[in-house]
Amino acid sequence: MRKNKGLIRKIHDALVSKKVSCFELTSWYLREIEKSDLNAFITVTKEHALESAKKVDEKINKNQEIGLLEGVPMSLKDNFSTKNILTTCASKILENYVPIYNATVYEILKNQGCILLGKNNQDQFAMGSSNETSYFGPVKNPHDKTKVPGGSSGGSCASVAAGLAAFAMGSDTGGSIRQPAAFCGIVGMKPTYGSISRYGIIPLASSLDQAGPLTLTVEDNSIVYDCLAVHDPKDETSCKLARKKTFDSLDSSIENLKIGIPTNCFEGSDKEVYDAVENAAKFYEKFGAKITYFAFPELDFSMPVYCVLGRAETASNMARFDGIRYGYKYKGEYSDVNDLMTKTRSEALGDEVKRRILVGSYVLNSGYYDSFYKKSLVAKNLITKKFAEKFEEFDILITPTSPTTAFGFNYAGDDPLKMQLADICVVNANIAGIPAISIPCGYDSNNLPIGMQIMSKCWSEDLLLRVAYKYEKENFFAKIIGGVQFEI
Amino acid sequence: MASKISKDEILKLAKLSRLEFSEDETKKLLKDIGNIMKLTSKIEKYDSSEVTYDNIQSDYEKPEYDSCTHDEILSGGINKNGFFFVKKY
Amino acid sequence: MKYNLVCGFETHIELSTENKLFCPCKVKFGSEPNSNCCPICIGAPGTLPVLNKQAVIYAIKMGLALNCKINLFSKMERKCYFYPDLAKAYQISQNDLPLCGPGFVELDSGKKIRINHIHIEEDAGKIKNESDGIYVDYNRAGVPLIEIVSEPDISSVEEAQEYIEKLQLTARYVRVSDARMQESSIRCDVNISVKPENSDKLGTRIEIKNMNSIAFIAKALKYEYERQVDVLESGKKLVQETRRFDEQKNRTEGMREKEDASDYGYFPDPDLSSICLEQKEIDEIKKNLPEMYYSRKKRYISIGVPEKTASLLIKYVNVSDFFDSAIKNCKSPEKVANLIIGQIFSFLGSETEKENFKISVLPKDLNYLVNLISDNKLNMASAKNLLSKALDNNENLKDLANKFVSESPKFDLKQVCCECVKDCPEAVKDYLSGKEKALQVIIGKVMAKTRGSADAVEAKNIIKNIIKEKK
Repeated sequence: MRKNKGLIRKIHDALVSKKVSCFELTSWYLREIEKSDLNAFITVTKEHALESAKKVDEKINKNQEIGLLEGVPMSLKDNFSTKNILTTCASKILENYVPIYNATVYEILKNQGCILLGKNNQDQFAMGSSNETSYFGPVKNPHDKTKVPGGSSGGSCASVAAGLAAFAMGSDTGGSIRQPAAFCGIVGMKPTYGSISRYGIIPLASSLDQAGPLTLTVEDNSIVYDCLAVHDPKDETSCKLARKKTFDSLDSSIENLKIGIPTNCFEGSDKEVYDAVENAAKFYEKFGAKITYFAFPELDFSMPVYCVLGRAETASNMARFDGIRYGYKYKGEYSDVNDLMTKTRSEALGDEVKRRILVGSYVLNSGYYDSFYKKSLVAKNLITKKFAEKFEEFDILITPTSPTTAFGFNYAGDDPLKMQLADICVVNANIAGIPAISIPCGYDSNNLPIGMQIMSKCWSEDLLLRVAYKYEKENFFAKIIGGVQFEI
Repeated sequence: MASKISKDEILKLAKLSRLEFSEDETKKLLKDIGNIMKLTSKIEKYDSSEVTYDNIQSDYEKPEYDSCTHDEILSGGINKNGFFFVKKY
Repeated sequence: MKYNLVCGFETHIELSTENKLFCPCKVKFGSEPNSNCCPICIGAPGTLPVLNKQAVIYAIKMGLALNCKINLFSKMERKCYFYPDLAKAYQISQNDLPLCGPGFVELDSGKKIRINHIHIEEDAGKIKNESDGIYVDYNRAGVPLIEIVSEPDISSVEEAQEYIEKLQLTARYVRVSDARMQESSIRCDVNISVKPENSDKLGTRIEIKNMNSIAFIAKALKYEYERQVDVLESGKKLVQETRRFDEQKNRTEGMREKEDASDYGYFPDPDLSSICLEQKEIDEIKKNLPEMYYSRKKRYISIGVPEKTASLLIKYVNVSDFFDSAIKNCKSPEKVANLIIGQIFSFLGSETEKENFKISVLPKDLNYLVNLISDNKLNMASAKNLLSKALDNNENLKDLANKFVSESPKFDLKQVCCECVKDCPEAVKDYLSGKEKALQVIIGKVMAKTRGSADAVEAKNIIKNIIKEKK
């Protein structure tokens, strides 16, 4: 067994050795959540969590074996459907929405015995990179409360970084797991598209969305990923191939890695970020890795493709919110059902949401372009092909996760495109469907975390996690700020 | 390719999407869409007829779903005699 | 100036699959509102569609029966528009890459009405408009539909009726739908324009919706044709629009609600994989397709069934199947046919009952009965009576027939005829002097002697021969 156990194994050991009961542990987390002013949670499922904890304790007291994830307190981003538990996507239009079914991700974690502490705050409908579009107010970065935690999985990342959950689930459409993970100094992975079931995750852009774990260590990420990376027949985009378990090979050797560094991703980065990530990449040289800098011009198309595909799919995904079958209903008078729909949506959908719907509608309906959506698909195929080619040359690609560290509130001002461009390094992996992970690789002079992004070819999460693990073993930067403390 | 979008088009698209925008918001949207269209002019050169799709053959296995009660189905709307009800004024 | 009618149809047919197109809900009718629903078909956020392969197979069967090319690769697309009966605010349908390519329906005249394509899509829910509000029921939402789009090849009201009837027949024969207009399992929208006889240029196309029976389709087309000709003759221009048929007023009218911009924003549905088929799958389906009504009609005529009778038999697939079963090793298929369209159809009465064709009589029993006639054990008149009795009283036909035969007087028809000829010298004399009708007296005596069991036609022939011999 390895020396440095991650948080999940530490909790497991503590529960099994009865150093702490699950009920006690869960109560600690709940108390810290209550005390916290980060606004990382929209819903706290106190009774439900304590009930679940009691059940785990029953098993432990009978000396029955418990799984690795059993009794581990966690939280879910509020776009994961949880039956009978409020699910809002941080929007007014779902402020009263209680799903009648469970997302597959939650079903699996529940069956593993995880304790759901609550639903995390996020950017509204996952649109944003700073968790400021939430109807329930912004989330603060635990490292510096005047800064954003990143987005859209801001609440999930802040929770893990602030010791309010042992791990959390987020979703990533254009960097929404990795960018906030970098801003909060934790590990966030977006697996290959189709890896984890999307059934029950309220979608932003269906061909780009993917769920992923947010954890303190790489090992934790590997454990959660392994139990979620299974085929779900309820999701036609879910991969049918049996996946290799990543946990068992985490500590295997990684000699002579061929590392590619796309220079376009480094341009425009803050100097401290640039230096930290470059140094981090150089770490692998002592294992015989060879680093090659190269230009990757096709990446110029990622953002436009993302905007077109993303917004078109979003516009269509948002159309079902009309108040008739669920969600917020406009309370005033209206002239007919179309008017009702218009008033409900205009009042209860956030500005960024409405903006993206409009753009998406333009992409799909404007008479000027012949199948503009299909042109983006052509470009998407090209980018995917190019990445596949690069991965014949290289084992992994390394870039900064974000060109800056956590910025202050209202960074983009009136310019939503500025916010979007902060995702320039991360959006590529969504377009190409490849797996990508962000791990902490240092701090800037303001003590704000810096994240390194590692990308590898499709279905090679075992390599990705192994490479990340190797780095983390000798360069551990994650820390739990406040909350429930563990020595890791 | 048209590089400018008119206010009338915004209104038409808004109606299609069942959304209403204030005068201010409409001005902002004109600017936003203009910026996005500039950004996306890069992909205008592609030929949409060259699009290819993944040849993934689905096995069409029937998934297992949990069942929902009649009440659960209607729980999110206004239930009148088992129908979803929208009031008329 | 004479104007030609130019007409094409977009026909929706509900497939009678076990489950809906994208979710596990059963396809049932007449249930309590919203009782055949699940999170997927009410569009709950986060749910995903999973394609029902049975629906694809049903669509392929229909495509093959309509002589369509089946596309090995097709894609589901989202058709986006807002309406309360559309739970996701988009309908999952097909656009550029439909399941079936061009095909045709052959009319009795030999004319082929070309089909442009067939695609699969999900149905929407139902809306009830009351004075206090709108009531929405999603039971029908997600039911699989095929849409059959024809070319504007139809040039008369009769052709239009025949086209729809043949689509119904086809759907029923491949058993993918019962295609009943009154139950909305088949719905038609028609596109109609008129053009001057000698012109090649097509006129303004008008769409008519909301026709719930073939009779109304005919009325709507007649009315619309005349309306369009009137407009053009008076020098005005026709507006391209959608009209609805008002069956009360017997006329078409412009629809009150303005149709949404036909900007449906089609794009390939990212939640669904492409439909990839293999040629051998399709060949297998084709091999196992039931015989079509047009082939059966030809076959029936070739074994001696009159054309009119054959047309009636093939009008209902269950009747045709019953007939095929009943004529196995049967010496007289024509008699079987007559009994079906005679006795059995009278017993059943309504169109629906004839379509369902649920009767207590088994095909093999009808076969048995008719063979008895051919063996001279029974005459047609008796057979008809027995059949009616079996139907009315729900009795077993074979048992009834056997009982009747065993109780019938056993006689040698030739001998009885001889006796009766001897008994009626006056009639014989009259017959020999040219009065054909005189034979009836002798036949009457034969029937009386055999208590009605003799075959009158057979008896007549025997009597004639006896008289000839005696001469």
